[in-house]
Amino acid sequence: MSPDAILLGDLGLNAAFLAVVFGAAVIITIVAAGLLIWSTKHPEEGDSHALAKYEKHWVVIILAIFVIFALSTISFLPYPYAHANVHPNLTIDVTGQQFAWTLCDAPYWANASTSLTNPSCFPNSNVTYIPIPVGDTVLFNVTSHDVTHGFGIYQCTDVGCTTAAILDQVQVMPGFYNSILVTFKTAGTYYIRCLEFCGYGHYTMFTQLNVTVTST
Amino acid sequence: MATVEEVPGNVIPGEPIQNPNEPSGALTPFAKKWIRRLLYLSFLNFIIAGTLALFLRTDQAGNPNIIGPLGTPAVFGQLLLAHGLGMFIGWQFPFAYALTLYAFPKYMGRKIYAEKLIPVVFFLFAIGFYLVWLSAFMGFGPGWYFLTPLWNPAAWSAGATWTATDALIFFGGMMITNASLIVFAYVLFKTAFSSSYKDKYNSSPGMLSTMSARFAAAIGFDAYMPSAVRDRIQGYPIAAIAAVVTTLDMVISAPPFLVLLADGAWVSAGNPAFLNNLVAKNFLWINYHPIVYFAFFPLIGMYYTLIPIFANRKFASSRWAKVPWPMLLISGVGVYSHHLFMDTSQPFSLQIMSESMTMLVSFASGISVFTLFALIWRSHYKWTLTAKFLAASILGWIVGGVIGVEQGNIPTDVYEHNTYAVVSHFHFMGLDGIILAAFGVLYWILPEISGKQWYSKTLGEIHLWGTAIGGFGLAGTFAILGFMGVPRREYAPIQAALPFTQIYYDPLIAALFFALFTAVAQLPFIWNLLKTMQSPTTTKSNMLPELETTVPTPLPTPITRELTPAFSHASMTSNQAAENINLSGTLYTDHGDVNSFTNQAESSLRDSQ
Ligand code: HEM
Ligand SMILES: [Cu+2]
Repeated sequence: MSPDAILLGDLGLNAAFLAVVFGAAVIITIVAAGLLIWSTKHPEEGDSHALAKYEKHWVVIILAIFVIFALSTISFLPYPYAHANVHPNLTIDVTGQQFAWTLCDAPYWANASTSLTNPSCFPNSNVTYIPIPVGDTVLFNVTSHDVTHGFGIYQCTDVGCTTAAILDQVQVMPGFYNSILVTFKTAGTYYIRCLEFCGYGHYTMFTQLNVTVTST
Repeated sequence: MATVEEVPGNVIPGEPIQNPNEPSGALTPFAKKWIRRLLYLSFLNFIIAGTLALFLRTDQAGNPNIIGPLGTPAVFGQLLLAHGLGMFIGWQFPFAYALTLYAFPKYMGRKIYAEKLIPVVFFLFAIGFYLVWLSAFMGFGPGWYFLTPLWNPAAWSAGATWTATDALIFFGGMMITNASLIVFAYVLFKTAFSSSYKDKYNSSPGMLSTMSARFAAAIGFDAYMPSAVRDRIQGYPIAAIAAVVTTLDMVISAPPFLVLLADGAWVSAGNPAFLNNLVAKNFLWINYHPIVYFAFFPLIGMYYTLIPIFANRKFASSRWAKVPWPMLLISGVGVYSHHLFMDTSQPFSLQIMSESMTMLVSFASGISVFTLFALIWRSHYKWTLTAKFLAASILGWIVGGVIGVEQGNIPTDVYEHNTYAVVSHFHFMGLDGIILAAFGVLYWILPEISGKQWYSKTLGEIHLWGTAIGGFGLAGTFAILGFMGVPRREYAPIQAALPFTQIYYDPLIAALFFALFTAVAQLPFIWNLLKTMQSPTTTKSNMLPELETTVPTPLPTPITRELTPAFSHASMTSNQAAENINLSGTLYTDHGDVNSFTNQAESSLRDSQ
């Protein structure tokens, strides 16, 4: 694992990986269920209830599975404070508002009179033109002007973007700043989509984010 | 000719029962009547809430014309609320009440304390919950969980809104619903702990009968004690432990939630909020998480009660059957912050506590699954209709658990939070786990509490297979949608401006198909239930459903009395009549807390094998 890995996705362990784990578990479960049904068609003569004595072994096994699962992923907590060694190249302030996103690079945001209509920000637009150089790690500080939203970043997985996967997400709560660190490893189009039911227009709340190839 | 021996009821209403070994007497006609009403109410709500879900589905498939032109974003929000709360509260609360009120007399031999309060529970619940549905009908629609601050519906230019009145009706209704819970908890805890019962749980020679010993027994904590102590504690039946654990969780988590409801009502009346948004979100989930366990835990208690009967085996050790319960008690509330994993401003200590607690729940479930698996393995298992429902529901529990563990682990939750993966998780749990188990239990206990035999076994089988295929198909499709990253609670997930959403179409249609399939599978159930309700009462004593007649078994020898005509009902086989022989049994093979249950029907099923 690379020293600056932040998300499991950096190891390729994203939803597709989780789908495989889930699928494998379903198959094991179905096989076990089949065996169980079979076993009742071939009951023991003496009715010894023989499996019961393995309960302790089983307890150790599942405990081990859960502990290993939790510990092996814990270094990928999606919380910036868990990655003090990672220094973002860029900070983007994000504001959610029914039903649009406003993204500003922090310098503009800090200097401006914090109004959403600051021309350097990209309020209520379907495309956000903040150039993010490939390979940069961005700190997103997100908050909301009105209600709770969900800031979800989707990464296209093919050229025409006919498929996309969640790269990272964070909740957006008025009165609080929530933050995530994301490293953009490939150039191209990313989409930001609201992931929390925030009102009737919730489903229209998205914008595009372009990651460009520039030399830093 | 087979025979039955009738057990006379010997309980004077209003008085603590003297003889704890008379379950059929402890389950008074009055209690039966109200248990029945609670069950009918719960399944009525299930049918309504399920029907609402069909409209959700057609909305999302972008095809409101398939079964109705309901679809607007506003109606979608109302449906989300009405469906989600219709299931978790409208269906689940009365079911959990009913099952618990049944389990105590039945398996502990205790008449319900202050039974006269059961109608109070019933009516408070009905009033409260139907106000909630009314509010949704009038326009309130933030979904089953509502976040603070509530949105201003006017922000949607299309103009659909809810009014302050609608919101107030909602918060008021939720408070009344919670009031019914509190009355219920009073009844339940008194039944579990009152010292006015003169039975073995309160005083047995040589046994500890302090409140702390009884409390330990009632949550299964005795399993953790050294045998010197354990042997002196009178164990509670698992069905009772489950009910105590789940109700404790509900009660512990009620106060913060009531504060949140008060805040919601206060704000809706035009005042400034007194809770900050993050605290409010904590107060919501601390209660909404235990809610989803409210019926589930007692149903797990029924697995532990019925599966030994079907397997005709005793648990190798009462300890393993009890070990999970204290874990479930703590984690039932302690997991709640896993709903806030993506809030980086939530204190880290709560996040990591909840992750550990989530693993603890999974661990406890894992122990239970194995205990039950071992019990069934190579037993002379009787695949009754109820047994099949329970088996299917355990599958739902496992599969839903696996995807739940992915969401209960913070770094992996990033890819599933607020997507259809969550919807998949709770439909595996709710629809394939809880609902299937509840049907199994309903088929089992309804004849006993209504004195009526099920109208048709075949309809029951169709119901089983239809619901299982539809339910697993639905939750499975939701899982696919989840792994594709489809957001949950989205009116129209497919957007022209988002090219990657076009491929959502096929699975959304597949989900619609399975939703309709599930719905159609409820028709035989409704018919069966209505026909059963109409049929004349056949007997006053305990009797098993006439569904359990497929496995031919020899009759036990003792024959004491001719069957009454009611028992010679044409469709009843000699095997079934055999099931009505009164014999007593124990649940565990080890020493110490031998829970004898003398319910004639159930124990004789075991012994008739
Ligand atoms: C009868 C068949 C059922 C169907 C067809 C169905 C379908 C649906 C659909 C389409 C959604 C919306 C998902 C979304 O976009 O977020 C949903 C949400 C939900 N369902 Fe079901 N469901 C069924 C049964 C159940 C059961 C048995 C339970 C619980 C015991 C349940 C609990 C919920 C909850 C809590 C929500 C979330 C509502 C919200 O986000 O506000 N459903 N269901
Ligand atoms: Cu939003």
